[in-house]
Amino acid sequence: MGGLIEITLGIMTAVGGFVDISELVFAAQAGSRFGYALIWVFAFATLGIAVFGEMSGRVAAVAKQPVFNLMRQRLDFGLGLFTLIASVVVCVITCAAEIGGVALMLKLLTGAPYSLLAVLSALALVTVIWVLPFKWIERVFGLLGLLMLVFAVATVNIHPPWHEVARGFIPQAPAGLPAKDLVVFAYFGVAIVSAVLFPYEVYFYSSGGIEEQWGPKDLNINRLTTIVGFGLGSLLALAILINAAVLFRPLHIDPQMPGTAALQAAIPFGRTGLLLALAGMVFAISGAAVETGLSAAYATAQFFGWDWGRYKKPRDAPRFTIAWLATFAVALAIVLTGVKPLQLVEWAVVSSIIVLPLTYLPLLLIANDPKYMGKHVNRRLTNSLGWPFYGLLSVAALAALPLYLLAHGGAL
Amino acid sequence: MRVRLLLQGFALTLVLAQPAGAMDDETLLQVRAARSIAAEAAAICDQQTRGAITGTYANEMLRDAADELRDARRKAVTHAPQLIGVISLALRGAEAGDGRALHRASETLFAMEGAHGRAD
Repeated sequence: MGGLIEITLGIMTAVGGFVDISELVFAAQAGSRFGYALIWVFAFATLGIAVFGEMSGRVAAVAKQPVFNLMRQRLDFGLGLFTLIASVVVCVITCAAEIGGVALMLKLLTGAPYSLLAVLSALALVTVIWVLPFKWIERVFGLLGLLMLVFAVATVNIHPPWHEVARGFIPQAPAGLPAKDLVVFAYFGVAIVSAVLFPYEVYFYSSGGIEEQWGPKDLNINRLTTIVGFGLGSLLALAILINAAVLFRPLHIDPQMPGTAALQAAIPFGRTGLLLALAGMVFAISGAAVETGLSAAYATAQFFGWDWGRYKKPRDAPRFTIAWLATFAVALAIVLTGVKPLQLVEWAVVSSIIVLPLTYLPLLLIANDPKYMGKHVNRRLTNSLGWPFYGLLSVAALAALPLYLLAHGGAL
Repeated sequence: MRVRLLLQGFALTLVLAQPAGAMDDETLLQVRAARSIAAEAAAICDQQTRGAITGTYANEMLRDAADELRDARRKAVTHAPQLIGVISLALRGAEAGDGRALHRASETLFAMEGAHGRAD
């Protein structure tokens, strides 16, 4: 019974913690600009995060190796250091985008000044990390993030054309798009893959496995969390895309303000829907801010071999503690310069996809190494999904920057 | 007042009469961003009228929309002066919570996208 509760809580936490500000922004814009035509990209990226998330959890449980330990062992030091620096930069930018997103949602709830709310949000997040044990940090935000289910209920309520939604799962580009819009479509495709597969998600997930002292007995929970939890979480992002296609597209809205997404719940359910959506976004985005802040510290500490982990007292892992505090401080400073969260989201998704191949290569190598993994090496199915996916990610990484420039960050 | 409206209408007609192919990327960016912000603000006004959203949410969203439109108008001065009239119309709509003006601005900007608009 206790095991079942653990599994259920793990899955629910994964669902509630799946959507962050970048998925929110790109899902809403994708639906309003291209209807259902990008649904297949979400499905494809979800398959990717399930495969690599499962792999990172399994490696953490069996080999007791988080991602950046592998990086140090499997990549040349210079390449490893480059990946570390790039990953930390991506985590800091993403953390800034999330803090800005939380402050924006709180502003829409309270009317208080944005900068003040950004400072208070960052302080609250730091306090939560300092005070709560790791498991509860994850659960508090993941479970409260489930308020975002109001978006999925809204989808059912607004009766989208389900046959068209189903057709969206078939890989496609909309017919008759001018060349410029095809470039924007391709940019959105790459950005969605990047937003779903943000590298911080595997840094955090695999480090979390070690924080919670997973062993081979936890492999089933790992599999269920990554496949069912991430799969259901992705449905939330899809709900936002579908709602945007039904509610925003006919009104000529391509959301330029992150708070517009909350209208998807307000239109069918009024004020209650609006408040649930805003509160859900606050918790889901806060959870992502915590994950990115800690991930930058996990990556740095693991690469340099420092003591790390929230299960240790701060004085027993001082450099790790300073690293995550510094991440929040720098992220907050970025927010306070006045740069818009939407701009930060765009920088985060473009820079993160460039880091993705370097993050996943050592993971794939070690998950196939019987010296580390024994009988738990990748099975044929995992490899037949993992390697082609890795190849596509590498192509997407090469295409990301040119597409970003050609599509003017999707604004064209 | 009537003269200003007439001039505004004349300016919009001139803009709409331009061939679609004449729009460069920079102008198209401005048009699309301003069109969406005006449409978002119009939707906020509609939902406020329905009583479906809180006053705080409506005020903050309209204030943000006005800030964005002010930015857009500033950029339009150098990059796309033909848009100043319609962006100003949207800005006044956002400042006054005037859904009709915002809808009109959004529709005008959508029409300006012409051949560059979305493929439905």
